[in-house]
Amino acid sequence: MKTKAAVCWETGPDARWELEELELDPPGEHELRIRWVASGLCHSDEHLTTGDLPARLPMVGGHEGAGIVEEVGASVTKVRPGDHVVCSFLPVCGTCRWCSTGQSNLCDLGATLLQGSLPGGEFRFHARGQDLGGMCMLGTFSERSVVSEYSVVKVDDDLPLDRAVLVGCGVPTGWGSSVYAARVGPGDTVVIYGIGGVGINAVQGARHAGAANIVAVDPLPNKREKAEELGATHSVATGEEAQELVTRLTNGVLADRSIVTVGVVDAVVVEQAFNVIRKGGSVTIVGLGPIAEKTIQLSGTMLTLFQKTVQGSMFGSSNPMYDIRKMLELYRVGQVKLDELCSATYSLDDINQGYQDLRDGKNIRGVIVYDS
Amino acid sequence: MSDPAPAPAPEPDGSGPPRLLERIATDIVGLRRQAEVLAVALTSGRHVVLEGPPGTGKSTLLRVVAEETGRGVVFVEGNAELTPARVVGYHDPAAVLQSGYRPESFVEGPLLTAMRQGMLLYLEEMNRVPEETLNVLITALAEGEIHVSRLGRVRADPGFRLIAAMNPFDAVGTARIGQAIYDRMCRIAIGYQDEAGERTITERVTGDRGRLVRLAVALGRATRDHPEVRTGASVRGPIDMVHIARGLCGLRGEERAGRDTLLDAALAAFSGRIRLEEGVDRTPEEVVTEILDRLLAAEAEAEADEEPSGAPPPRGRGAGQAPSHGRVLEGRDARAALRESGRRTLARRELETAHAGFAEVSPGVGRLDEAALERLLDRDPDGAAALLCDLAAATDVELRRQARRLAARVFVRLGRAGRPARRGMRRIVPLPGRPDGDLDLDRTLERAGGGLPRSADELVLRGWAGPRRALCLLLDHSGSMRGQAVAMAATAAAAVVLAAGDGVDCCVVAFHRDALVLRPPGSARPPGRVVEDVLSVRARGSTDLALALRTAARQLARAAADERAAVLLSDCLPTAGGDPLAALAGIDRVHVLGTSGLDDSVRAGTALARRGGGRYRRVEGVAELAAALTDLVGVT
Ligand SMILES: [Zn+2]
Ligand SMILES: [Zn+2]
Repeated sequence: MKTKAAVCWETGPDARWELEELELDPPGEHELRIRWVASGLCHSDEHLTTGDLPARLPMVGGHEGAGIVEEVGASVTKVRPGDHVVCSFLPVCGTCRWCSTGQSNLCDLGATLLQGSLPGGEFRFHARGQDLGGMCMLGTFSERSVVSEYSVVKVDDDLPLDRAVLVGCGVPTGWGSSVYAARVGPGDTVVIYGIGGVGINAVQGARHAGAANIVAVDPLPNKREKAEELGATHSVATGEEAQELVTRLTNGVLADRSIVTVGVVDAVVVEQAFNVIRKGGSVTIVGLGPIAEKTIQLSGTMLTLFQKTVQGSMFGSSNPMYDIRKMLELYRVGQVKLDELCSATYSLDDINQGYQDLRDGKNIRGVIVYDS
Repeated sequence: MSDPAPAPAPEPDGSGPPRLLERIATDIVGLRRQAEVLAVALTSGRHVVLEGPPGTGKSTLLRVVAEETGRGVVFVEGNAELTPARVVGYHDPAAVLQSGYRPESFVEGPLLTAMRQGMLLYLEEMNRVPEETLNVLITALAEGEIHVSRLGRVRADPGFRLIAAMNPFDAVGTARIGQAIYDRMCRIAIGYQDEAGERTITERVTGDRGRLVRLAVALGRATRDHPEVRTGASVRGPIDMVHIARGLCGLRGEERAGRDTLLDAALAAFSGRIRLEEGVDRTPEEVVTEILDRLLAAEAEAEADEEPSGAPPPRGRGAGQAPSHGRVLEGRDARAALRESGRRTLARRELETAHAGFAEVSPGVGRLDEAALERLLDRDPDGAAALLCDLAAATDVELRRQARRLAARVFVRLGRAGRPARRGMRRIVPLPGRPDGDLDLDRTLERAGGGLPRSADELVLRGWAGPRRALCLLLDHSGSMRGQAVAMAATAAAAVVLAAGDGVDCCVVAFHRDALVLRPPGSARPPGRVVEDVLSVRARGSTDLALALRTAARQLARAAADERAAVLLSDCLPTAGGDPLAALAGIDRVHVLGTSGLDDSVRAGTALARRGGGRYRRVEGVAELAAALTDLVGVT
């Protein structure tokens, strides 16, 4: 069948999403077709067009999606047509070493995330005589996609999908980076660099974990304001201000945890996050940067003397199949806020506007809502 | 019924309409279509209501149209004191005492003048006019004549027209404009100009153009969209701001108005014009300052095309985040607390297990079958009301939205049950011992035994009876505040708010350990909105009855009333705070609607009511509530 999609054909500073009609294959074994209801505009897709993330091109963008199952292939038992699903941008096979030891965010099936092919190696999108991958094996910037059953999480059908979509990537990544990866505890002081779709949820996670001081660092006033609305106790524009504030708040002890969720991670912000933590504290890096660039340059001696930890975290170290549902349950009981996160909605045709707004810092999280 | 409208007046002369169009083009910005409709409506014998917010050019429009159609206009300002006598006219007491009821002693009111001379009667703010006065107008519209006692029948000249103006956003009394009036008039809706239109007006009036006009108009328009502003500024605000800012620039030697100058001008022009939402705890100055700073930041951004430099500095820790003991939250804080407590939503699976009728009322995601709910209401009012309350908290966004809308209607209806048909309005009553009001001639003469009154005591004056009683409803939302408990609270709130205006000034407070003032005394917050607030209230742990009663006393003290009463809907078993029996100061009567049949609860409620000089009644369901309230305090 045909489907309209936003495609990245080439990378570069001026690369744009191109809207194109694609041919979509029917689902194969362990695959299903989804009609997307909503798709989040995540910064990672922007990294795709800039080339920071070296992906196989051409690729259909979008890895944060919620929709309704339309057709299932052979052997699919997890879902039926009509089911509402939120997709995990990380597939979870359930049997590999990582899945079976509770680290399904590192599942081996993730190997082809940037290839965009499905676990069997097939490409289901085709155009101009080529195979197209789907970002993170999903390609949610398309009216419809064929995805692996390992990528879907069934959710209750009374949840609003245009809100639930956010738990496909940004929410668990941010929330988990505070709660799971950084292990924020009651009374902690936490500094969060970058208040985007991930950082704002790191704020929510830190609040959930009982942090006493949550310092949001972002140059844009609208983002600082949003951070305070969702639980930050303080907000500042720069790393220097954060250092000064945290020194004052903690009588010089410094922060317990710092979390880096800026759009493009560089050595400067990592060093700021390193300097702001106390002895024995940790820096958790969640954001991405140019893949070849060395974005961590620190004094190893300081690391040793102060016994600091610097760690990375994928998907906030959450387990997709469990935590996606858990985020929705927390939303239901009012402990995770989704309505406030969605700052603007767009049609698929306006996707480039959506990314322009993201670059301009206007959006906490923009969402594409499909009309079909 | 005979044709209600008087015969159409002949066109004054053939050149009317073209000249009119010319003047509309030059004198009026952006109201061409409305002006045309108005002109035609008048020449074809229709009466007209102009509906729109203040400052949209309604009176300018009328003046131009009236002048060009060659009619005189009598202006009357509508307000609550506009008695029938002040519209129709009255017999001059001195003349009557001198020579009896004679036509010469009659002082003609604006309605009679307009009717006799075939002029336009322009009635401003029609929705503030008391119902009796409107009734007089209906007669004039319907029959083309009115009957004035002791004067006789007065016929309207065919040229007589009534033009009424009203502001649809003005909540005071709007509901009173009945179908009878609307049915006899044409309606022309006049909204604010678009931005370009407002700029043109401002430029034309001030002779200024450019940045200052742009900022002033943007500020004026922003006041209308601001969430905390109930009534925004009309175009008169921007006009004043431009005048003042320009003057200040001259005085201060500024080439381009700086922030301080703009702020001074904006405050002068807007802070007195805007009306904030009920219970907002910011001042108009703060709101105007916020809007101006936002506009300036956007301007700086646009000009420099870089990060906003005029942005406000980062704020520190927000106030009042940690829950403390026994807070009283009002206005914005109360609403924020409600939003917070109303966060938890109910999944369909939970609703299904809790309510037998759920599947029937909501056959699928996003669907609410109103008819099914109505049937359930007939069969099992309490079950249906409880279901409706829980639906209003559904996770399913669409279902929740529909349920809230329906709930506002259903609970207002339940709250009205058993309520007498009397319309909620003030009445004209004799005012013994008061020196103001209109002289009631007949009664004065009667009292003076037919002769001249000899002392001031013998004068009978009539005036409007103001609210004499203030009532505070206290809703206990501790413990299990789901389903039926919410339904009872919502019904009680609707019933009490409906009573507001019947000479009773009503306020509503929900409480657990904290007290939330949902509707302060004298508020215009309508029953449906208060019901929505109550639906957002969720269960909280402890019950501080003493705090609730003290809060009631404080709220009641704000009302001008002779008697101050509280009605408590609760199981009366406090788990926090002091002894409620010691917290009754400032309340004349405390009535109790007991929600629990437990011995302890009944005993405590009865004791509280007795000490509070009121009565105790046990209520078991929504159907009993309105009747119980009527019984206890006679408000519904
Ligand atoms: Zn993402
Ligand atoms: Zn696996």
